[in-house]
Amino acid sequence: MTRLFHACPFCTIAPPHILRRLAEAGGPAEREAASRTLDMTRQLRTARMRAMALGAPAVPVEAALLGRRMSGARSTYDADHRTRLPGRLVRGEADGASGDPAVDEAHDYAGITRDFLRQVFRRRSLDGRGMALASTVHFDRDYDNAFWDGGQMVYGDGDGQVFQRFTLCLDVIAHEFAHGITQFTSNLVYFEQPGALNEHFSDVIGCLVKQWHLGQDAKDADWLIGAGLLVPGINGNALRSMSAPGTAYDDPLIGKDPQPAHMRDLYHGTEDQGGVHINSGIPNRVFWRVATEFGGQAWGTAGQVWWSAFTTMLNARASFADAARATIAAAGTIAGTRAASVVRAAWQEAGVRVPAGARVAAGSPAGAPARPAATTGRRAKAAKPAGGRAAKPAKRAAAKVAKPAKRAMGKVAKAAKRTMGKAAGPAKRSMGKPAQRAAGTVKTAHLPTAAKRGAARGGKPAAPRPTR
Amino acid sequence: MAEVAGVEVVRSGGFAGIRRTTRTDGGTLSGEQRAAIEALLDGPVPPPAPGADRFSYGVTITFKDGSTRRIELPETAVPPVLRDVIR
Repeated sequence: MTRLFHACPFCTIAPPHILRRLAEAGGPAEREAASRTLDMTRQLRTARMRAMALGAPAVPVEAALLGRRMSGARSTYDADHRTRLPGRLVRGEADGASGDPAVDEAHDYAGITRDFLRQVFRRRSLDGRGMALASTVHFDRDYDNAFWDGGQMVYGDGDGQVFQRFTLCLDVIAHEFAHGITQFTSNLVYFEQPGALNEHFSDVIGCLVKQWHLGQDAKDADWLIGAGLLVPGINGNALRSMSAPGTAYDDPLIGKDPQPAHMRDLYHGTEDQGGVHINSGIPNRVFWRVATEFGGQAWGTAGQVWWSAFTTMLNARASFADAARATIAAAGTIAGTRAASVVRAAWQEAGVRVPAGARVAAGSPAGAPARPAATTGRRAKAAKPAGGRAAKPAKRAAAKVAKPAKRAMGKVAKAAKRTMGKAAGPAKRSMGKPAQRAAGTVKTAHLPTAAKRGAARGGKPAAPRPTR
Repeated sequence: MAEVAGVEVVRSGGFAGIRRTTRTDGGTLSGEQRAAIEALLDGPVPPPAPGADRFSYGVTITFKDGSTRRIELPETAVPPVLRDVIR
């Protein structure tokens, strides 16, 4: 099997035969780079074979080996105003500025976000295993959007009438980055409340990265998402406000910021996947409240609490109430009971009902789920304190233990499967065609149709980067 | 199927989450576009787009007999020939 995982900062995704030719015939720099990549391929193959002999799966070995060299190596592409992804590679990890502001912003801000995650949350890239980071700019014409396609980040130039280019803002790039993290952790379903939580987590990471980069305390930050993205002349200073949802813009051309800050104003319609970018205002304000109440740097205690809750404690269908329970529990574990009551008060202020008994089990390690988040009203009710009745609740508690444990087991297996399946997305770009096809058949067998489509997409391996 | 009188598209979602409505007069549609609309109406419900922050489209088609049909489309399910109409 000749599969080439690209992570060398000096070379691009290239089939081994091209690398071999470069190693033989290229200039000194090309020769060096190509040899290095071929050498790494050999190392990978040996490691994989050794692992297989020991009965271990191959993927973690490769990830571990690659991660030592470069965690989250960036490749930034130009779609040349078309919609095919990833497009033409214009800047690799070790390359200097390209001179194209969109390329350089996407590249540099992805680097800042990657560094933030590594330093603040000890997270190695999107998947925690040093996955390569692909970004594409100049997507489509006048495209008013930035998105995460399940395997990479994509940015439009804006139409110039309402939006400027979407790479302008560090928080926009960190927001897209965070969608990748969610996909590899809680995998919150992109619909209604779990979808709004997915959006919320991306906004939180967006704000944290911006504040970290600027060295700002929670009280000094603007708490805006996409500040400066609207063209001058549009009445608005950003796309969302975490401190005052619903106040970011109000303009005849684009309407008024629709975000609620309280459950009584929850959007119940079908647009925007059931209001994922609308209802995120509610948890957004909760986070702002918590971060400012805690004081200091938002990426400190508040950030750690949210990170722990959103990456280890929520299941894919979590509701706002589940997120409240998880963040209260995480706050209790990480920062004590007073912190937990600050978080509880913030959710209650937003109209999210939190059962009084929701607290973390004493002594549970930071970051470890105190209990898998409940998804239904039934379980939410069961979590309420039981008062004087002792025998029944105990029995119920025992039954409850069995269930979450079972579910947790299932979750682990699923997460592992997901990681394997998702790896097919980014990895497919670095594979030769036959390997890609084989990986596609094996790895997508268990995936839902949408994910299969994602994994099957991609086409030919990318061409080697032109040398300069 | 009666002739298409008009197409109204409500775009929602995207990173910005800003709602936008556009209308296209049925008379300006090409034969290819009409066929693509009919295919969308007869076809299966498209799967949601993978990833996050993609646009969602609510498309309402009004026919000359006064009847209407409504479909929800993720950005990834818009046929290339309809990209000027569903945008």
